[in-house]
Amino acid sequence: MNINNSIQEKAKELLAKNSVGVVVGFSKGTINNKSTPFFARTPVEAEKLICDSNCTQNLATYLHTIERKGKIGILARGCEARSVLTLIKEKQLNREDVYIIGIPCQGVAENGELHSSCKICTSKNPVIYDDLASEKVEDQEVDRFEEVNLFEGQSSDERWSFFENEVSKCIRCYACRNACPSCYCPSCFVDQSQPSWFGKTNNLSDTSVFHIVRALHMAGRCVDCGACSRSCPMGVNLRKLTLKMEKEVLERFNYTTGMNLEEAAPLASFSAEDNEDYMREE
Amino acid sequence: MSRETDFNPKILAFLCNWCSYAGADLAGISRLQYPANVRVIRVPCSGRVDPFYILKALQQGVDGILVSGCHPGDCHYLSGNYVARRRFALLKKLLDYVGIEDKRVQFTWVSAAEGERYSQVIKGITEDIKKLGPAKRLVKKF
Amino acid sequence: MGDKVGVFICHCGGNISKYINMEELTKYALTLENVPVAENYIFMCSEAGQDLIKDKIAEYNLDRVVVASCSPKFHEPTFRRTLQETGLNPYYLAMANIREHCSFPHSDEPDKALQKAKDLVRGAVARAKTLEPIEKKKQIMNKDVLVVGAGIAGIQASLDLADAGFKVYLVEKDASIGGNMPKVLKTFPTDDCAMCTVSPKMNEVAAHKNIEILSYAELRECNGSMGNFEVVVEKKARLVDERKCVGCGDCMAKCPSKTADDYNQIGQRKAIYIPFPNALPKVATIDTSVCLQITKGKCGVCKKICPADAVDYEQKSQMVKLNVGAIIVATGYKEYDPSIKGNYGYGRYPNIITQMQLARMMDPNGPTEGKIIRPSDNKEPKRIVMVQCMGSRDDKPTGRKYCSRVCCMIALKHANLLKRDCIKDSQIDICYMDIRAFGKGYEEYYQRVQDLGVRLTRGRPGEIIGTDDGSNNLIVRVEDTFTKEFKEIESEMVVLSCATDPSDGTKEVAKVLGIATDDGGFIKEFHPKLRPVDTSVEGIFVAGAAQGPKDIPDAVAQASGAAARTMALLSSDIAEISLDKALVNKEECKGCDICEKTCPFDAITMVDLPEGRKAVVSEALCHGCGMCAANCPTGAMQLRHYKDNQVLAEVGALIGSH
Repeated sequence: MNINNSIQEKAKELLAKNSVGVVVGFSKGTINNKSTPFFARTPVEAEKLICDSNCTQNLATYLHTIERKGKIGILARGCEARSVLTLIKEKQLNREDVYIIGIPCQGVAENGELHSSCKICTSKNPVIYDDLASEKVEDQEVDRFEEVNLFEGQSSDERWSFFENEVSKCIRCYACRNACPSCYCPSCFVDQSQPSWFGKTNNLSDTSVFHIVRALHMAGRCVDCGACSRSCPMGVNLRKLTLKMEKEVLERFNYTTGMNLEEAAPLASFSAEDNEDYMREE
Repeated sequence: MSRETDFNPKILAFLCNWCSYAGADLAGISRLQYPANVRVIRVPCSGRVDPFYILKALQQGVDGILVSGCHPGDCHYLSGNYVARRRFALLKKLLDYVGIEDKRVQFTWVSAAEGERYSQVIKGITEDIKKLGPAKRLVKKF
Repeated sequence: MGDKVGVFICHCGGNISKYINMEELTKYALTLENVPVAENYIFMCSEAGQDLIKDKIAEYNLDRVVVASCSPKFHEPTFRRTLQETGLNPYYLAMANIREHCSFPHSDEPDKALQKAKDLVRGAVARAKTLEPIEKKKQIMNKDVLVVGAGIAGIQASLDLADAGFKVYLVEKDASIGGNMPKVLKTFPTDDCAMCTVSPKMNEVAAHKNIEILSYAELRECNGSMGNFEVVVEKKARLVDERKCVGCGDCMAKCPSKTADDYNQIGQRKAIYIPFPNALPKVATIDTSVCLQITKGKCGVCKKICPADAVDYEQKSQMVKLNVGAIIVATGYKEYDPSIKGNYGYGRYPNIITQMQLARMMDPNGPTEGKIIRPSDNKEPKRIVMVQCMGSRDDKPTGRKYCSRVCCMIALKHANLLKRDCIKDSQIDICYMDIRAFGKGYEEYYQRVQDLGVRLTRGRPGEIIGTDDGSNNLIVRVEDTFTKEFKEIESEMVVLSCATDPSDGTKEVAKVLGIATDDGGFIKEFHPKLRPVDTSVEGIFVAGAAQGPKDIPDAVAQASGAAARTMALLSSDIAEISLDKALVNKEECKGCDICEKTCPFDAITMVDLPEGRKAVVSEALCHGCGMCAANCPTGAMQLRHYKDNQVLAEVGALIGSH
């Protein structure tokens, strides 16, 4: 059975039995090769559900805004399942409020090529689910931090000019923020006006601080789904910073985001033995 | 005159009320002399220091930043500095990563009894910042 | 926002004005936006200075005040009161520290000091404008007191409080109350019997209707604030029922298991023990680390033999919750462990002992029944050398920088007792750095000891080595710094006058209570001169050697001082808590839990409200560290008086980009 049939069958059954009020997934879009997020609320609508390499959004994002009537069914690929788990851990969702149709994933495409986040994906299979839409796929062994390590090898001047160049592309449209399931503050620090933190225009300094703070906020919370970078109309290399945070959180605090509900989030805990290598030496 | 001696950097220090601020007081009471480049902001705990304060200060053109709290295990609020230590680690590594000069932003611990250490830290960071020259990166141009 | 800020600059009688040009600084302050008045004065903290502030507040209708003076650590409370007396909220005050942070450390560079002072004033004015009023919350004052540590200081404080009618919970971690004083045998300078002095006090405490003793108990938790502390005390399991045990000691006689005697610090005691004959409560305690019944599951001798059926191997420790209004920490000291100092041979040569061990030998009820004997051969030593400043006044990492204050007098007392009573034909040498006989009657005592023929050598011994003739004698190598003569003094026994360390309990209790400690690990007083028995936390006081090395008269005086401070606090029926605590903006809170998980005082709980899951701060439990505010991802959590805009206003002004 093809995976889309399997998704549709399972969604239909859940909706028919009223086990869930909605199934959050994708449907074919109106533009060629583009799929679009789709909320199926009836068994008939469930027949439109699909999930393929053209489905570029992270569906967990919609859990914040969707009307919560009864249980929510959601399709979740490896990264999305980690996002859902992160939201449960951050108390934005109860486990029993979602029915997760897990989807072992072969990656999503961008410009006919596997997306950069998928190339280094090591969690293709969902870590948390109620049902699986297909057999699990084989995970790859890959050095997730090759790009970060290479970048770290450059001089501070080189890194700054790269960062400045990336930031200068940004038009402050906040598509990255909207695409991210972990961005859910009622009012983002860049928008707050009482007091007003900083300029709302794309001043290079302000935009740089936006990207630094965004990365800091993502530390221990980003699953590297890549939705932000796919949503960016200007092609800013957003993952450059979030991957660095992922590396630091792993190396310093031995923490990987979205893998385990019990484990304390890295910034909600500490160890007396935490590494102080970054501190001033006398 | 060389540029280095011309340059009179402005450095901000966020000091926790219970240890480092008291350590700075002790340095003063002991009449230890150190460079007059550092301006201190008293905060209750190093745990109060939001990374955003540091970024905001850099935007406004400060040449150097020091954050100092109680030594690990000695926090007046038991664990404020432990939690801060994690937050600062990520901030510091990220700032380095995007190309902010390594010594521009520094973190340390100074106890209420360490007046001597405080004066050494201030001498040290002032030297470091003089070597780096005026801050340019992340500075907002108006 | 404040828009009329008065700036008041203090000369500190020259401490500031000698190095910073007051007129320049005042002129500069007047150029700042929203500063209609700036004044300088010789002592702003004096009554006249405070009156000046009050007059200007009235004259210019000021709504915020900046005082540029010494550290806020000294006079922030003073100036807050000044504001309050004019009807302004006391938190409308910002301070610029132009003494400790400016005139003192930059006295060599007056120009730079002036520039820095200007910046600090500018920062304080910017902060002042953003300050918001902080109100006080009133709570009923709980009038009970917790005293931690039942040595002489804790006992004295408890008695003073109890006599004044306050209910006291006296917690002692050891099996008996009494602390170190019963061990020292005699007290200088009168040489009267320590036990005869302390034992009646112990009995008085036990009999007092207002005092409840919790012995063999440790403080585990403390929440709340001045007037309303909630503490948890663990009553450890003695495995003996205190109500049944009659203290006959039959169990001790028959117990087959022995271990090092931690009370006497020489010899051994049984696994079931009463630490000393006058112990109180006089009940047995089982040391579970060596009791065969507990460690091996077989023995049970004490249970069989106990005439009162008091032994209970199943007894469990109990957590006791207490509510008190104030706490006195009197957790005392311990002797420094001299084995850290390899060159002095303690632990390597059997005939090197400490002054406390010598005191225990002198005690007729002690482990040697009053006989002074060498541990190696149980013979009476005739030549004894005492080494002062063992670990004290020592800059090395293994040493303590401070003077331990009591060791000179202890050595003189013991030399006196040895020569006069114990071993009259002995030769006593004392190697010292300085003899510090500062107390009342101490110098006279020192003279008497010299008259007895005790030899004093000024010099710190470089090392102590054993002789190689099998005698187990010792050679103390020392340079006499008067004669510049290098000496090797042979002796049969060496007594080390060890430094005074804070007790383990002092460190633990400081942690539980969240009170500051100093470099040496002793409890730090709020102000070394003016508030010497207050700690860094309001409502918690300190007495005795927990605050620093001191002798018995000082410890007792300080205990009465702490009791008086406690009574002054508790004389009010209302406890006022300043609300400079964390504050949640519910609209921004997403209930993510990070604040709740990291709050060190469990002051934050998550509550399900109709609008969602939200953080709620308990103002009684919050200590105002602001960690939650910095950690809050959404910016919903703020710390009053250190809100983001308040801190950032100061940041911006100090950098001076605007």
